[in-house]
Amino acid sequence: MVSKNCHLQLTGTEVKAPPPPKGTKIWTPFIEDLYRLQLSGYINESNYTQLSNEPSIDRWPENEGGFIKKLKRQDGSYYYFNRGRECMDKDVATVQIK
Amino acid sequence: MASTVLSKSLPLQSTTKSPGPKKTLEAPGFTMKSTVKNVKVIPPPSAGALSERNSKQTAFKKFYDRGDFPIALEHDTKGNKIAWKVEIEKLDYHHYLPLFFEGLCETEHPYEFFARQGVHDMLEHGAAKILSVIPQLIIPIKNALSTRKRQVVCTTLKALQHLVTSGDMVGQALVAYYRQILPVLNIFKNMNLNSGDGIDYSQQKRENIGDLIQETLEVFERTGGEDAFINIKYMVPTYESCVLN
Repeated sequence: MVSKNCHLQLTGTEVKAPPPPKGTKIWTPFIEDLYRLQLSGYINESNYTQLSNEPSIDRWPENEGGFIKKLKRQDGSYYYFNRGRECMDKDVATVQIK
Repeated sequence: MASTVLSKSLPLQSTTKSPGPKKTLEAPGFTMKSTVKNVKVIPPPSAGALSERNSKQTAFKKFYDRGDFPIALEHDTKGNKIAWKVEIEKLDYHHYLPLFFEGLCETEHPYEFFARQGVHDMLEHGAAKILSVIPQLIIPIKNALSTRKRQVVCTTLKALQHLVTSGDMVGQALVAYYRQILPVLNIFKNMNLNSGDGIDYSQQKRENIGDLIQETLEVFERTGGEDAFINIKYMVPTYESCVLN
């Protein structure tokens, strides 16, 4: 039985890891921000700045995670988010990347 | 005439009675009756230290029904969430934070949810504003713990943990009020489940009161400065330090 490392040595070329199956997502800070935006009724950051007339997004400080802190919804109310992660593994698949 | 009617309606009864089961006499302890021979002394009634108490109608409920809070409930697939109609930073913490803490006594939906989530949001985003409101929060916290309702006590303990970690010096400011808060924690501290090698699902859901109290006292000690331990020990004698040991 030839191990993977042995195969690499034999051929001398690096074998790339196979891409994840289509539609599979892993949690990242980017996914977390998209989750928060989509929970508030926006598609992404640029869509938010266009529709809400807010110049920038209010975020937690970098040493506290740097995630989105507050979003103004289209009806004028505000959604507040925690310092820590809110998008659970089960919710990652529901986030749309556009 | 009347006597003849009576004699007709009432049949004659036999004067000899059959002996029934012997009744044992009971008497509470330390009474004269309890010293009589063959009297069973009954145990004292329950003091009701752990029994649940009803709380009065809270101002939180009244204000919410009147529409005084700048909040709305949003339902979605990810659960309920509060939509704030005004930015939290612009809210008067001296007015709203004590009201939300008063709502922790509530057990009905939506009051319970709004109070719990409102407290969480205000503490998360309050930072420097919280310290000056501490004295106003003590009575609502004490009232919530005094209900002794398991659900209310659990929610209040989680709110207390969040409160002392929400800002600088908040934990130290709370040390002066341990006398009001800790007596109920002392009562429930040993309320734990001995499940042997079984699974206690309340641990996972953070609803086990004994564990929550231990956790809360440890957070108090860590955030309360150097006087915290001795003050906790005074009110909860069975507590052992998590810092000194």
